[in-house]
Amino acid sequence: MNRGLLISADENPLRLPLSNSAEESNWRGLDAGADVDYFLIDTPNEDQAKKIIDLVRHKLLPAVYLKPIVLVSVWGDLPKSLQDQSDFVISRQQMKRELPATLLDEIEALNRRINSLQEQKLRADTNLALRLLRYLYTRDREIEPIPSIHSRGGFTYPGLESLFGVNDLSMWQTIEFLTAQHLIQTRFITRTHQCASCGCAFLNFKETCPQCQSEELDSDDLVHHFRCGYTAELADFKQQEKLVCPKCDQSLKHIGVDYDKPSVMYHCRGCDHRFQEPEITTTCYDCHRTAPPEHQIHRNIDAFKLSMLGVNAALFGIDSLFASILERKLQLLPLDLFERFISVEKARIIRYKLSNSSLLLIDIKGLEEIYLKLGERTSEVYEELANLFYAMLRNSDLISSRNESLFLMLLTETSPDDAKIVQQRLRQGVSELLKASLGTTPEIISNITSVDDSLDLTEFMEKFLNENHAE
Amino acid sequence: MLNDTFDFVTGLSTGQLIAYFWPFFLFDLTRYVLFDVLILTLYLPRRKRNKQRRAEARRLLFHEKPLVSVIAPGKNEGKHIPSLAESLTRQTYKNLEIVIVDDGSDDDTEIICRKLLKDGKIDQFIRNDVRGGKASATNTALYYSTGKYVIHLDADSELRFDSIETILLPFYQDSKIAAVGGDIRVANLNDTMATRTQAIEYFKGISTGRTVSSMLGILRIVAGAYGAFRRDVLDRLGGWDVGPGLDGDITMKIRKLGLKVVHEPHAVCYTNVPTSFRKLAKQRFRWDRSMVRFRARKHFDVLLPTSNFMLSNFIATAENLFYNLFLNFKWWFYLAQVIFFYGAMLHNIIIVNYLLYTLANLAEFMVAVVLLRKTLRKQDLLLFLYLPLMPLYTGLYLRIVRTYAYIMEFIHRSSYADQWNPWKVSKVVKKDRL
Repeated sequence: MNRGLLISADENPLRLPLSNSAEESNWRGLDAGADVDYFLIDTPNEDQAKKIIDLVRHKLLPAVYLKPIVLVSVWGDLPKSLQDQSDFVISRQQMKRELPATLLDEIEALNRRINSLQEQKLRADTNLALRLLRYLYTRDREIEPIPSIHSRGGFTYPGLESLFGVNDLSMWQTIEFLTAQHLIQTRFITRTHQCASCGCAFLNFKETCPQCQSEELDSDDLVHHFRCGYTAELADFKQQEKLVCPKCDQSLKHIGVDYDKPSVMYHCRGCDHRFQEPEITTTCYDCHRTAPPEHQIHRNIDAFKLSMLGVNAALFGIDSLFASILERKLQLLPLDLFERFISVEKARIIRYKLSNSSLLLIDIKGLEEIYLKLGERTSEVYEELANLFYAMLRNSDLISSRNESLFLMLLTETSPDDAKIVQQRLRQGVSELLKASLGTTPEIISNITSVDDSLDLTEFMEKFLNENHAE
Repeated sequence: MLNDTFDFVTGLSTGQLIAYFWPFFLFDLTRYVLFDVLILTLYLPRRKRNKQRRAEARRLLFHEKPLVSVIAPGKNEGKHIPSLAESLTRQTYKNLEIVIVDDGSDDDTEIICRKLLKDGKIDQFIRNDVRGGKASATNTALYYSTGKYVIHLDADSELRFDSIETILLPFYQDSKIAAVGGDIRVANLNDTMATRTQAIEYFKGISTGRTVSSMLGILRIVAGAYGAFRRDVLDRLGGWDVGPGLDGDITMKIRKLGLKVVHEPHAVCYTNVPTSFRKLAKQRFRWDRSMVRFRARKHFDVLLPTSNFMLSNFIATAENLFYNLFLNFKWWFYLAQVIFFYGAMLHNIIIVNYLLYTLANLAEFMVAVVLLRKTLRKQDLLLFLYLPLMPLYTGLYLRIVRTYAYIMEFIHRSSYADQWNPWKVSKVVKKDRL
């Protein structure tokens, strides 16, 4: 049974702080509104509706900020920007006594997806990237950009504005970050120029004189009179209403038949320079900075949806980042493939008895928490960690991971003693790097074994994990 | 056989000599050898005497230092422009404005020239997306140039270091002079046999021929490849009319204004000429037709006793029509005469003619060497080895092309169908019989 919470001019059961009065509000509670199925907003003015949507989307619990929002259209033409921020819009007539059944089905489907984040239901999401991922996961569709004069970037994404705030650059930064981490898949829609200093997409493009930079330009067509070969600017041919050739006094009749216009010339009123290619400059309507277009930001405006990696991150948190970076940098192998390589290597060593290889397990505790501490700088630290791994390993070595923090490495043609040197350097490098970034020394646990007849990878790994759990 | 020819020659009376070889003795020897020698014997001492006046002209030029516009309109000439711009920086005369017009090129011309403009190597670049033909491109360049004098140049030519200074001097010697023709030499003379023969022809026709015409006041062409003009005169004329042959046309129009046109043999311009006889035939086909189109049609009025009548213009056109047009057809008459009446002596007549014309060519070459001595290079002098080819080149090859061109133009007005102009332009000028 669906149960919505109506917020209207008269009803405000959660006492959302809609007016400026400082009265105590139930809304302050972490789980305020968590137990309803949707919010039904039916207020007489647009600003208030917008404010309610923002309040909902800024709450911390996924069970609240992801909640479906139904907007009742009472103003006839509801502004598109407002429609875009809600999940559903219905008219008064449609509403009658309760919501239409099809709409309720859709709300239920949406709530099912929110509920699949059950584990996190009562945990606050403070991370903007994760909130966005979860919003995308629950809405389960591609989000397309919409041109908007209300958004500083010139485009907005329906639903996302209220997660971030209208003129908040963090929306663009978060999208860029998620794209870079392969957590969302993008589809190119268009491209904008944005001010390099303030991100504003409202730029005034102007033609200027290449010699004196003046903006006061005239332009005129060049006219070629076929009959006598005379070529001059259109103004020279104008005689009252007619075009008459100043050289042969003949009237010009039909373009393409007795004359044509082979090009356009500009004339600078400032310095009298004549030219064909004016220089283009842009001035930001907001911060008034002037720069050539090539010095402004050219941003691709994409539609996007969650990638498989993103779905995973939405469900279980964003900390599998390191794995995705390693996957890119070191070609991190899937665990099953890694197991297969181990067995091949084992068979080779047993058969030829010429060499020995080692298996190194390393567990960096608390790696998943690094994101909470570092926010957007996380990816840089991960990149550095990946570089460190990359520097330690040779082309012939293989790497895989069990989860976000446990890594398995096959060091070919390396004795356990030599592997210890690698182990030591790796531990030291990781410690130093994380200490420099986080301020505390992380706990690093590792173990080495020789790849031989007695090695059973699964068993060795179980044992390693059990021992660590015991601690 | 040579003994036979020798006997044939020694056995000839004066009357027979004239009867058998009248084209040579009556026309070619008198007009192109004796006349040239006579005029140049007058010219060279005069030039020497004028040294003082030239120095004065030079002083005036460098005192005034007027802006001189160098215009180079063309299609797909971009590859030549960087070296042209570079060579102009080495000129002794520096106050230049380089204006390039791209007449609808479909290669990299625009990219190359925009870069040169940005780097300040050229002063103005105008790109016309739609091709309008040589006249419109040249007029565009004229419209956007601002110099007191305008030098029209082919993009693939190169000037001697003092060439611009030299071509400007006549303007400061005589205020009636409105246009000065530069001396066109062949840049790629060692490329092929075709370029070598053209190089010799240019020495004779342009260097000597035009110097003589200029002295007599009957110069009828300032070459499109290199010529200097007074801007006020070009503006008065509204620039160039539609070609082919627009260089000869504008020269005639300047003459009709009662102004003087001269040739300056020491203002040297090296230009690339067609490298094969096939390409050359195409070029000459175009040039020769314009002789009919402009001299025999458009400017025929200079031969008529109108209020505008000027003896020098009359002679310039009449001489041209007589020697090039009329005598060209005389040759075929002579050929028929020799075959039908002197068939038995045919081989002797051919051999003697060949020797006579080779000697004439040698004489003309020597005249050119005397005239141009200072500005000649070693490779130019070595061309004398190829002089024996010239009777075949001028007497046979060029004559056949010329005759064909004249006939096609007289009967079909085929110059109006030349792809050298875009069809939209040709259509209009053909309709209006311009």
